Amino acid sequence: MSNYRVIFEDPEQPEQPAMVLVPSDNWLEEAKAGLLPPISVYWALQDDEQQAIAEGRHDTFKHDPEKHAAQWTAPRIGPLTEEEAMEYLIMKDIPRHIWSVEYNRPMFKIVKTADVPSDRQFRNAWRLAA
Amino acid sequence: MSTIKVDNLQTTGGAGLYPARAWSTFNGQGTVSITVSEGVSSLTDNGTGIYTLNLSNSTTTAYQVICGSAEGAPGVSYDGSPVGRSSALSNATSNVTFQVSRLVGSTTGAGYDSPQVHAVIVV
Repeated sequence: MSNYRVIFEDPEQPEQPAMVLVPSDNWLEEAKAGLLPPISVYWALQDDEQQAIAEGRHDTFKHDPEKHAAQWTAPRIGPLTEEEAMEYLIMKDIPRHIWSVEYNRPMFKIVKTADVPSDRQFRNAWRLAA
Repeated sequence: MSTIKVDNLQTTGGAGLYPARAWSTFNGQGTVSITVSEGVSSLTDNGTGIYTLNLSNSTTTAYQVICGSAEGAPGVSYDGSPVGRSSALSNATSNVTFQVSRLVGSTTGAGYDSPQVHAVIVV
């Protein structure tokens, strides 16, 4: 089981409580074994989908077959450490505006699993102070 | 280990077969943890009873079907906790957001942190 979790907030949804990203053990094993494609493969898919949403055609949207197949056909990036895999996972599974923009305070943090408050009452009260 | 790669699965009679794209069993209480999963890169705990399964690989469209079940509250008869989506929850080709809800009692329909959630995604 992973030693890490990612706590993050969405600046576009200030009323939303802090969210917790839990990595899958299977996926981490794939990352450590070097089975992942470059992160740019996922970004290309996300960009196309975001454009479809912006243009109001998400209901009929379908990924370009070549870009979609790149998830399996692109050259693999090689083995990652668990820490590198967590950084990759943030870039893959957390919306880009949360981790790629510099805000006045951090919007996400990688923490040890044991550091995550298990009581939701206090987790919801928690804010990611610098 | 061998890998079978095909574009279509059918019975010998020609009926289409549609295997699950991803599935997961996780504990939604306390510090959320994934018990087992396949085809899932991570799980996001968005708030009480609301979770996002992030897929290892994107699907071609955002019309995934999610189904599942969850363990109800202790001591409450018939409190199965259905897993469902609504228009208020986002959907994308790379993830599925859903809610686990109480089935009976004064908080029927409210989000619920179940100790055991089973979710399957079919495309």
